[in-house]
Amino acid sequence: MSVVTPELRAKFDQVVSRYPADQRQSAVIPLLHLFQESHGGSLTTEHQQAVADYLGVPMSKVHEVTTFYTMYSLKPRGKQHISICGTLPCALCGCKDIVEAVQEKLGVAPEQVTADGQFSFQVVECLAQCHQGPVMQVGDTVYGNLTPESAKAVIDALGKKQ
Amino acid sequence: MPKLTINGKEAELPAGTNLIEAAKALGTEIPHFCYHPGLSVAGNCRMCLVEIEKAPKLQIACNTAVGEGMVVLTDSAKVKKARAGVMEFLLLNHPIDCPICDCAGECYLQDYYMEHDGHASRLEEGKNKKQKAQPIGPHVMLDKERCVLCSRCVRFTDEVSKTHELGIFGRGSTEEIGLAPGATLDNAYSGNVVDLCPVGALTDREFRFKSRPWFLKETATLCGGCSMGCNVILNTNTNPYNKVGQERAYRLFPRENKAVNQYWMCDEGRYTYKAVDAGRRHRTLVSGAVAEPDAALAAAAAALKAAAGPKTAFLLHPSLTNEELAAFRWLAQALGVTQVSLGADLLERGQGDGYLIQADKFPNGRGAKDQGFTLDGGAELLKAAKTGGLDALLVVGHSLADAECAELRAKLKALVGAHSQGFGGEARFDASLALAHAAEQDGSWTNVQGRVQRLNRALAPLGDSQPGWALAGALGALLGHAAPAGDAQSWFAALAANTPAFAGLSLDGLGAQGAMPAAAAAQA
Amino acid sequence: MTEHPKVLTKNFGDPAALGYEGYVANGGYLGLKKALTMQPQEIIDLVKAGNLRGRGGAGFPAAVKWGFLGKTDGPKYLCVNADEGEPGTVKDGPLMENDPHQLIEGVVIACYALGIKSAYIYIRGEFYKAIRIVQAAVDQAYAQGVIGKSVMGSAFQLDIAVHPGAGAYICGEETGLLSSLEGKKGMPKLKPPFPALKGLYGAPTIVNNVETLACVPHILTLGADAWNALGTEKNGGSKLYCVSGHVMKPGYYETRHSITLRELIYDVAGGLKPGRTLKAVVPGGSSSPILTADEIDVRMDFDSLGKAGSMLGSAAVIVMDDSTSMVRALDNLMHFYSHESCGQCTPCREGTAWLHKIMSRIVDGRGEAADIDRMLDITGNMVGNTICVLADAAAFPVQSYIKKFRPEFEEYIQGHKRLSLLGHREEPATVGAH
Repeated sequence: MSVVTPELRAKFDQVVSRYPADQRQSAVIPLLHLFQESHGGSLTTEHQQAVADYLGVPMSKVHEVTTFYTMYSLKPRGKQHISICGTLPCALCGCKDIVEAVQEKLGVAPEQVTADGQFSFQVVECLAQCHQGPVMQVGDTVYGNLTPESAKAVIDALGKKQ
Repeated sequence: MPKLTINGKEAELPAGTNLIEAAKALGTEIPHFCYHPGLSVAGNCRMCLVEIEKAPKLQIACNTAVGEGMVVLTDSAKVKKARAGVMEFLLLNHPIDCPICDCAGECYLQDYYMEHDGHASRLEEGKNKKQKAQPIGPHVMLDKERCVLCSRCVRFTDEVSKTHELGIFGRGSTEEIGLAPGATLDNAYSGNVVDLCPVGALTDREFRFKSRPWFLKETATLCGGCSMGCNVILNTNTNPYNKVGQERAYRLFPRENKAVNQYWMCDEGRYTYKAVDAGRRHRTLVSGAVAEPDAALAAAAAALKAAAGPKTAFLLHPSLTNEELAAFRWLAQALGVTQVSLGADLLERGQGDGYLIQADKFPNGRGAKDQGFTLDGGAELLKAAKTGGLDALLVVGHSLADAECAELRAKLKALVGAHSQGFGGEARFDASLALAHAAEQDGSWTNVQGRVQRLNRALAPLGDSQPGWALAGALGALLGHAAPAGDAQSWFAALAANTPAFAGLSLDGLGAQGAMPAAAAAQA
Repeated sequence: MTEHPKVLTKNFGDPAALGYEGYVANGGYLGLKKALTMQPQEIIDLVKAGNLRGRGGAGFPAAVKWGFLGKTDGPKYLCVNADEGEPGTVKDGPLMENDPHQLIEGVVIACYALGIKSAYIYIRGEFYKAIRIVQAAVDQAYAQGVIGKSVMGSAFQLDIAVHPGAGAYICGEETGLLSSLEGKKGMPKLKPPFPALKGLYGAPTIVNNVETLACVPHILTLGADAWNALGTEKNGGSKLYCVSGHVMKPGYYETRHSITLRELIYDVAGGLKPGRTLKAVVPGGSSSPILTADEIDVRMDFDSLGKAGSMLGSAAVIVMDDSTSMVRALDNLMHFYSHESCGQCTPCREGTAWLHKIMSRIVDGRGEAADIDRMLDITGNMVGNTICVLADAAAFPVQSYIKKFRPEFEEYIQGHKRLSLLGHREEPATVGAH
């Protein structure tokens, strides 16, 4: 069974059309994103091989991309993956307390998934939200000016809309 | 052509020459890890940084082409500091495996440390740990900790073998060379990454722990695995305490010949060194029993004498050197033998790959052709021999099955052989002479391109074996004919005198890269 | 209260301006209309006269960079660098989220001036919102004939595509961006050849920052003189700055390019928290050499900061008050650079990791006095010897923090040795999360 569903294939074709016909490799990053988004936030070897086959790019090159960029995960992630910024401006605003609060709230270590599969978190580098640090990002939503309490409240709210 | 100055010495070099090659032309080595003339430029090791007048920063020599009026310093204080800095960075996480690492003695890190560094480690923290001793293919072992991430191996599998098994995965100082998921490094040229690796990250599984390189002698010679004639170095042992079993030959690796094999060789050819020692017919036999060489020669001569010339045939072999072939041709003429063939039709043809690997699995079919030999006709000869059409057969090199030899023995008056490898039917022969391996003699082969290339004797012939021309000469002498030549050089000279394909050449004049005779080039 | 110009941020907070009609209603695409009546070289000359400096970090004059573009009948590309990732930097994200058509207009004008028919907007992958908004604006621009086969009815044609990153600071380096856009790891390329001659897919390419391009329509509509009046000599226009860290009103702000750092911190960003004094300021993103509290009377333009021994970089001001441990701050940055090093070349890959190991050890209380000079020596072997300037970006904080706060480093090392002997662990001041 192919991991490239007709729906994904349509999206793939649309992405590939953005680039010159002899530059299909450019689509590696967007295609991996599409796979990861359709697969609960992580990638498998099958996905990478499918991208390689679809674009005519060696598997080695696709795997290089998957292991180079921070946003891709080859390990399972929670349905809601929390990225907490740990770089200097956020650190100056107390992000360490946010990390501790999130870790305490979720009860798992960074990059581990909660038992119900709902959450995972990791500390990332600068998210370019320094004007409202400390921040965390879940999917496409950025939560800024956090306190340990507000961070925990965000998790509560996220947990409610399953 | 741009004129530039390197360390005060002026040079004029073709446009596009990079500074590493330019310095080399002037006799100066600029140290480097990632640069290799057979691969694209990566420029990542930063070891080849040099000072160029008017440039604000040091520049990497591998990616800088010669420029008119350029003034280059390869050993200034700035350059020395940068180099020592790069060495320190490379050694930072490098495991000091030297006592157990096969690369010791031919390791860029060791050599450059002695020449360009010499400082103690300043690392107070732990080194990065990575996976060690991982077989990644039938011939290659990977030690990720030792890797300096020069990317030569990855570029090889992308650009030369085009099989893409390898990549550099991850980011930053924890990144690693590795196999693509699901891949094995099993392409036909996998062994080349071991030659390429400047350190002991990629090592040869066959060679593992067998010898220290400083005990090994290097001889420039040729691979005999097919008609490509890839240029190689054969490593043979010089240390009496360094022996595993009885091996003398330890390793083959390619040497540069831009016209033939560039910098590479195939895996099948790489391991043909084993035949130098394994399964040798190094003692002479008389009717299957080990005998003194003189006794065997006498038996062989007597057998051939008993049969008349026209009813004698020679079945020669396309792995014989040009000199050996010339000598057997002389012997045939002297004895009135007219039925001579190479027996190429008896030999299995392989698959060519459009790159180095040739379908013709024998090194000197072309040389035989150029000397006017009939390449095929082996089957005919054997049929004639088995049906009473022949009285005597001299078989050189062909490993015939025992059943076949029994049939031959039954029908022939005389069955004589000369082989370097033992084989099933040799006990049936009246006399089995011991033929020296190509590694044990000077001589030449002509490759598929028509290039005449030099074999250099790396080892003394094993046991009682001798080069084919010595055996032909000895047989001829016993039969009353004096050979016109007594060594490889003279046999080649004889060829040069009477065979257009060799005109104007001499064995010693072939040089390290071989030569294309004009006549052969026209035929090619 | 000084009035600050609202040129780049004119449409901020007006949701209607996200759409084509709203943008046009607010005076949008007049710059493009004007540009289409000019000769390409005239536009380049105008931008040169406007002293537009590259706002991604290097401050290189934009028009001069444009002039380097290789001449060819084959493909040429414009790549928009929207990989905002220099710690402290927030300007390009807001520009894209609040006024995407302003960016598009700048891109079209630039492409017209350069004879470029294909542009890619490379947006860092975490900017989901910006990607969505910019893509929608691009779609509208196609629908309205602002881009496509005939730009505003002219003979000029242009395609624009949005391309996401996937989480790597090094993709903000222009050749790292190009490698990423080509579908590979974001590893910077060897220079020479420079992208203007050999860039995306090997073709001549200009890479420009979002803000740089967002300025272009305004240079067209305001004219060089009015634009320059908002700035300083050789640094034309108004400027976006982000102020973060220990201030009352962290945020991104548009001001004149001539504003001083003191004014930014105290007048614009509300000054420090009650009871706190200023200790140090990063003026232009984490890679810029740090300034002390008595060095803040400097104008926030590329040349003034250069003369002051630092750099404007990405105009990211990070304010540190007296609660800050410079040791832990530097440790935080060393974690950043070692994590973001692409790993390609030896001095950066090993140097950034080593610096981080040393800083971690120091923070952990196991530092030695000799570590300080050792780190300086390590940076000396990094700067200038690498494929790209990430190594320099890691080295400058090390060099400047030690230069200006050496006693604090020495005391930290000494003090923690003493404390650990006594079995104490000092509760750190401001810390990183790592």
